[in-house]
Order: sequence, then C-alpha cells, then structure tokens
Amino acid sequence: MKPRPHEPPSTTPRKAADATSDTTLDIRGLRVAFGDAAVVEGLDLTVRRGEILALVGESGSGKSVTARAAMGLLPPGARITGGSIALDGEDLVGLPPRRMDRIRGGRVAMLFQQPRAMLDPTATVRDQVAEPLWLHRGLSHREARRRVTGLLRDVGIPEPERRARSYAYQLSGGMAQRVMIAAALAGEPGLLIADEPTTALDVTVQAQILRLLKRRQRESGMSVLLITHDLGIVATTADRVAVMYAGRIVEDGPVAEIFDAPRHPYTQALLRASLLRTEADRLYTIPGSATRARELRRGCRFRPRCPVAEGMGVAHSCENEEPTLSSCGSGHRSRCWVRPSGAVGA
Amino acid sequence: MTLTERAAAPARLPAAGARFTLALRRVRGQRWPVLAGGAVFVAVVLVLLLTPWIAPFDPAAQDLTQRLAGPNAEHWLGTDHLGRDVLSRLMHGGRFSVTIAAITLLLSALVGTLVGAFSARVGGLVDEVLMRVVDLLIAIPDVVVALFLIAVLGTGHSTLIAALTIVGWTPFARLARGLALEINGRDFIEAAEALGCSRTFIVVRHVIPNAARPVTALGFLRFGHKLITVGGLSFIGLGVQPPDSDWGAMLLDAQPYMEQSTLLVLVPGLAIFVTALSVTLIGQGVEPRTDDRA
Repeated sequence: MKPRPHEPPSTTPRKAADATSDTTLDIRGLRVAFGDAAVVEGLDLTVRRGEILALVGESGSGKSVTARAAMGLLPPGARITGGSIALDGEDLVGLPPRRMDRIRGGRVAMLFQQPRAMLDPTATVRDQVAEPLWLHRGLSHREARRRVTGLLRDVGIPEPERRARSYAYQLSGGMAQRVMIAAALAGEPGLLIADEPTTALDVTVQAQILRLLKRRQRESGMSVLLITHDLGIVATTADRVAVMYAGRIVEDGPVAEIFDAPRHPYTQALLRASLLRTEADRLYTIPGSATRARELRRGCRFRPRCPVAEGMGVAHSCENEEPTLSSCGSGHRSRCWVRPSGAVGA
Repeated sequence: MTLTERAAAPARLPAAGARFTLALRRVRGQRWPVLAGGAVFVAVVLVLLLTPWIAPFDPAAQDLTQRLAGPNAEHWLGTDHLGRDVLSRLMHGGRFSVTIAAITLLLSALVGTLVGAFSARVGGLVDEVLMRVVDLLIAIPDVVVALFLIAVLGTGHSTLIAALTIVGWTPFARLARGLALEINGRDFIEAAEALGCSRTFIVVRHVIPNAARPVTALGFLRFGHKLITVGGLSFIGLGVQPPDSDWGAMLLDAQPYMEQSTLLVLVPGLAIFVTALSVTLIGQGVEPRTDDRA
C-alpha cells in the first residue's frame, strides 16, 4: 500500500482472514485523483457476501468514481493514488490489463445508468448477451448463443426468442436494462456493481427492475453494490447503506438503523431532505454546497454546512481535526465528533 | 395507419415473412440516381461474368484483312489495328479492370480500417507515427507511388494489386481512425469493457461494425478512383501486361490510331467512365442514415 498523506488510519482493523470468507469487496483507504485533485480520499468500504450494500450521496460525492475504480475502468486522467481494492481477497489495484479483463464480467459485473446507450447499436441482443458466456465461461460460440434465450427469460423478458434478434433501438429503456442485467449476470459474477441502474427509467419500471435485481441476487447469492441517490430505493432494496460525502464515507450501517437513528448530521439532513419524511409542508434543503468541501485542509469536511457543530460545543474539534469513522452501535459507524449521548468523542 | 401507430411502428419487430417486404421497401425508398447506378453496375457485372460464353470472338484473334473496321453486323463495335473484335476485347478487358479495382479496393479498405481503428485504440506514439505515414502517402499522388513500387517489384497482377493497396489504404485509415476515436467515447464501449472484453475484441466486434457504414460509403466513392488508377497504369504500360489487356491497355493500343477510328478510344474510355460513375452513384445510398439510431 502506498503512503497516504493527511489521512487518518482506518478505524476498525479487521483480521485479514475474514477478507476471504465473508467479504466480497473490501476497499481500504482508497484515493483516486484527477491530476492533483483527489475526488475520493481515504475511502473504506466493505461489501459482504450475499448482501446488497447501497452507496448513497449527492452528485459529485465520488460514488461513481469509486465504482469505476473497483471495475478498473476509471476515465482518462483519473488514477488510483493509494489504498487497496480487494475482490475476494485479491488486490485489484495495479493488476495487468489482461488479468483485469478476465475479472471484469466474470467475477465482477456492472450495470449503468443509461441502458440503451450501453448497447451496441449494430449488434443484436443475442450477440451482446452471449459475449460474457464465451469470454468467461468457455462456451462455444454456438452454445453461448443458444443459452441467451434462457438468460433473457430469467430476467423476465417476454418472447425471449424474438427479443434476442432485436437491436438496441427496438428496446424500451426498461427492456434494455433487463438485457444489460442478463449480460452482466451471464458470467455469474460474485459481485454486481449497479451504478444508478434505474435513474433513467420511469417509476413503475424502476420498481420492476429493482425487484428483478433483488430476486436474481437472492437466487445466485451474489453481492450487490448499489449506487444511488434515491433513499426510497435504499429503503426498499438494500441490506446495508454507506453514506458518502466529499469523497469519503461519513456513515455506514444496516438500513433500518440508519433510517431510524442516523448519527451523522449529513445523513440526518439527507433524510430530512428526502420525500420519505415529510416534516412540515415544505421540503428541507441542506444549506450550502459540497463543491468546496475537498479544499478544506483540516477539520470535518461537512462542517461548513453542519447544523450541529456550533450548538454542541465541539466547534473547535470540528474546525481542526477530521473525525474518524468510528463505531456507534452494532455494525453502525459514523464520522462525527458528536456522540449519541451528546458527549464529544475522541 | 394512425399517427400513434406510425410512431410505434419502428419499435415493432419484423415478422419473419415481412423481411422480403421490408427489403423491397428499402429498395423503393432509394433515390433514382442510386437505383440507376445499381442497375448499370449489375448489368456490367453480369456481362463481365458471362463474357467467356457470350463474347462473340476470341479477344486475341487477329484478322489482318479487317483492320480498323467500323461498326458492322459482324463486329458491333468494329475492330482494332490488328483486326481484333473491339466488343470482345472490351468484355475481356473489363474483367481485368473491374476485378483488379475491386480486389485492391477491398484490400485497401480492410487494411486501412484495421490500421485506423487500432491506431485510435492504442494511441500514443504508435498512433502519431502511423498518422504521419498516412499524411506522407496522401501527399504524394497515387500513380507516382505506384510507379515507384512497380519499378522496384516488377510488373504482374499481384504486384499491381500490392502497389495499389499500398497507395490506397490511407484514406480508409484516416476515416476509420476518426470514427474510432468518436466510437471509443460512446457508452457501449464502456459496457463492453465492463463485461471483460479485451481491447482487440472491442475493436473487432464493436468499433469496426459501428464504423462500417461510413467506411462502406467511402469504399463506393473510391471505386471509380481505383478503376481510373488501374486504367492509367495500364495506359502507360505498367499495369496489365500483354497478351492480357484491360481498358487502360486498350486505350494505349488505340492511341496511335485515334484519328482513323475515334470509336477505338471512345469505347474503353466510356466503359471506365460509366462503370466508375455507376458505383459512385450507388455510394450515395450508403450515406449514414440517422433514423437507424433511435
């Protein structure tokens, strides 16, 4: 692991042994930078085997960059400058491209936001869904193409035999996302990273796709990292949730815990600002913006927008030192100086 | 058909039986220059294919009693300075001209597209060097480079094809590279990467198919150019060699006698012109259509 400047150490050291047993993806101290500007810094994230972990945060918080780093598909100019990304105990950072090609689609697959743009306009559905079958599962061309029909049926596509012959422009958004799910699951990956898979779809289709994802996840026992900014999706779909702010995790824990008793002021504000909780007659908005949060040299990154810091008498700590991500309940961690009792943690 | 039905139509899948009707509609939807070009070219190809059976005379058979005859019942397009039948020579010569032009065109398109697409994918120094080579070759007229290569390699059909491919791949490489750069930025390339496709696989299976339509359009436009280059090299005696002859070689033979028989130069010249024009016209039907990408 490369040295990480201005970086608090990871808070809950776990034994190396369980990295292979019950965790699928284990990201430690990840730092991703565009040039000199770090968009993700000191990110710790664990996806356990067979769970759906939701990664939430506002636009620009670094959710998608984190997902792409895990896929080894960072956009040009972005580089991993620190930390490790372990998939089933194997560090993916710095793996040679050929090795990475075998992992992508085979052990970890990805869903994207714009399903129709993700399908090659010149190839049939059959050709695209068949690709991972012969790239990763060693099936013959003919055999792979034959199995596509079954895969399409598994994702609830009516008339799979006919749909297999169609092109992207002949599919609706929801249908295209089903095709992408079929392609992503064709390689039987242990981890599926879904980057806002339903954002571009309308609400009824959204629910169908999420139900499908959940059903396929239960059937295959794979883990899912679900990236979203929609807390409604988190509530209905995920087992655990990690909240991201300005390039790092500020709170994580089981969905019920976080929704019932959010610890971090940012999570509290997010929940108040969502349509899940209608408090008064108007929607709450978080004051300020996150755009300059990464420029803060020291202290808590949320402090400039934090409604709690001043009142709790911990402003000095907030100003000068960044809190660590520390435990505050069973499997529940929060990056804040303010502790549930109101006392100042250290 | 109501408005809503019409709007929904493109999303519907064609039933197996509707394929033919759809194909027919596609033909009918073309503009007339495309149809005319297609009809002429199909006719030319048919005649050239059937030449061994339908040509009235042996193209090499001389009849010195009938030198430079005008069109008559026996020799429809007259005879040349050795009394050979011009129509038969035109048909046999066309087989060389069109075949050589088509082969070199296909090779040029194939080589150019592969080089361009991979150059875009690999990038960096390789890309830079390849594109400067392309600039250099494009800056020098084709015939000059081909002349040089033939001088080095000697004459013959295969060297002619090799020389014309070496001068002909560059426009395809430049076009394919530009297209590939654009296609590489599209979302489905990222999706293919996420499924574990290697670079080579992506170029072959996703980039090139998406570049196919513009490349094909360029191919049709370049055919006339190829046909003229083949004819031009034969005309200066470096293309198809005797006893074989193509349209360019016929022009070369006819040139000293053009005052006695204008038809002798007019016929092969027109054959080159009409064939080149017909293919260029077909090319207009292959222009990128936006309605394919809904």
